[in-house]
Amino acid sequence: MSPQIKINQYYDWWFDNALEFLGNLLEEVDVDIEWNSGIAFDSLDEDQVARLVDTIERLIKFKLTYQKTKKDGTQEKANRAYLPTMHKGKYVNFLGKETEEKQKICSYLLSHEEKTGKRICDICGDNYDDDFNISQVSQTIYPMATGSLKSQCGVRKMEPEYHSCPKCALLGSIEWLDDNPFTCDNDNLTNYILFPKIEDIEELHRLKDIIRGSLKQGRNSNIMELFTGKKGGLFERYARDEYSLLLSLFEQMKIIGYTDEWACLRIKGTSATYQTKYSYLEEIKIPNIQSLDRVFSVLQKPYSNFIDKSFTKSLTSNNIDNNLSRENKCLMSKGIVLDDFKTFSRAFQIRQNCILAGIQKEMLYPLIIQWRCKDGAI
Amino acid sequence: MVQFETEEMEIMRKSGHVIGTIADNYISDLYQLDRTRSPEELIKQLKNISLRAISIGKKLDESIYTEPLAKLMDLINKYKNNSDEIKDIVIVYSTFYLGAIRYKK
Repeated sequence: MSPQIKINQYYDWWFDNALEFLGNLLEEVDVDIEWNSGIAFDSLDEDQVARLVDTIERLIKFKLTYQKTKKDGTQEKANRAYLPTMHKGKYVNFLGKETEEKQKICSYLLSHEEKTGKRICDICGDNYDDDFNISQVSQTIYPMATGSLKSQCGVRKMEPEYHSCPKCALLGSIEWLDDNPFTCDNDNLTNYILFPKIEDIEELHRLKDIIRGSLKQGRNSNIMELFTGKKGGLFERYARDEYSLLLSLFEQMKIIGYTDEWACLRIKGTSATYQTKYSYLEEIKIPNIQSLDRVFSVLQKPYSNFIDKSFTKSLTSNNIDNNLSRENKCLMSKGIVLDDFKTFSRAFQIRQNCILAGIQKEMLYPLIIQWRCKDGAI
Repeated sequence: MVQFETEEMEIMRKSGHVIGTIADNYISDLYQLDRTRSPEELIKQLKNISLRAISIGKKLDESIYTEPLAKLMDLINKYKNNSDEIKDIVIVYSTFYLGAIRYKK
């Protein structure tokens, strides 16, 4: 029997990733998916819907919280409050619905029941009725949305309000549970999440499966190495900017030739109780992905073994300058990722009387020769 | 982006070593090298650094070998339109050597 339900792709970085994630979740509950300009599948039975909602609820607990160590050394589960998924400590939209309500929404959306209504979705243009009260578009549904829930925004009628159908609301909400590389720079109170940009959804699914295999789940990042400190205790070593994150992702993935276009969502403010309004989107286009192949051929782990080990020291006081250290790491990673030697070399400029140190000769020489020498001979 | 010959890369590396050694005592020389905006300015600053190397050599027992700097000036003349790229590579090496010297201490 041919698949009956089809959800077309949006050709948008957020919703296409969300659609791929929904397809992945459906595959986990044994639904056969046809990946072709969207996803197509047979309608779900009650058991499959229950398992799907169960998986989503498990992911909410797993992905949207982290293990926090309190001052007295005890550990507790804390919410990733910086994500625009909560308001006043409670999940909003689809994520905040009771289990039965979630099941009702999924049953309706993933069945072949005809979806009609008087309203038109601002995102996909489909007709709908707001039977589930999840139609108001906030950053929970689309992180770049300008309109917020009035109660969350505080300023009324300053910005236009958008409304979406339950399908878009569901997709937008669950994308926060997806396996996208993220990192958090606590000093700058900034979080970075990367999304691959691939038009062909089947290709996107293939790449994201590889990414999923490379991820761990840590407090500050899902691409990190664990190490034991001098006084014992387990610490995370992780990248603190988008380019370093991308480079360390490539290290973990081992295959880098898949996509040269990424969307980076930058969220400011980590410890806000209210959902953040400060989300920024940056497009990362890698101009020459073959150059990365060459870098990886001479340095197996350019971020972990080379860039991450560098630090920036004051020439006068000999103290380490954390801000410049972070900035220089970003410049080196950006230079390597974008095949831009000028940017890379900026990390080596002496600024504010501080100098880059901790660079290993065994790594720097081959890298420069590979990058700048005609025959690339070492 | 210009791809250089192996020997040319070697000249830049050795020049970086000389400049890094000098910058350990005269950091402003490295600052000024970085600030140069034309091949002429770059060569002028390299000449200053060469003179500095000679004067340091007179004070110390061990002289600083300045031949790489002379070769570097020839290289800059050869790649006049891309002297910026040479400067970038030399700065990377110079800072690396200076960092190595300082960090060793």
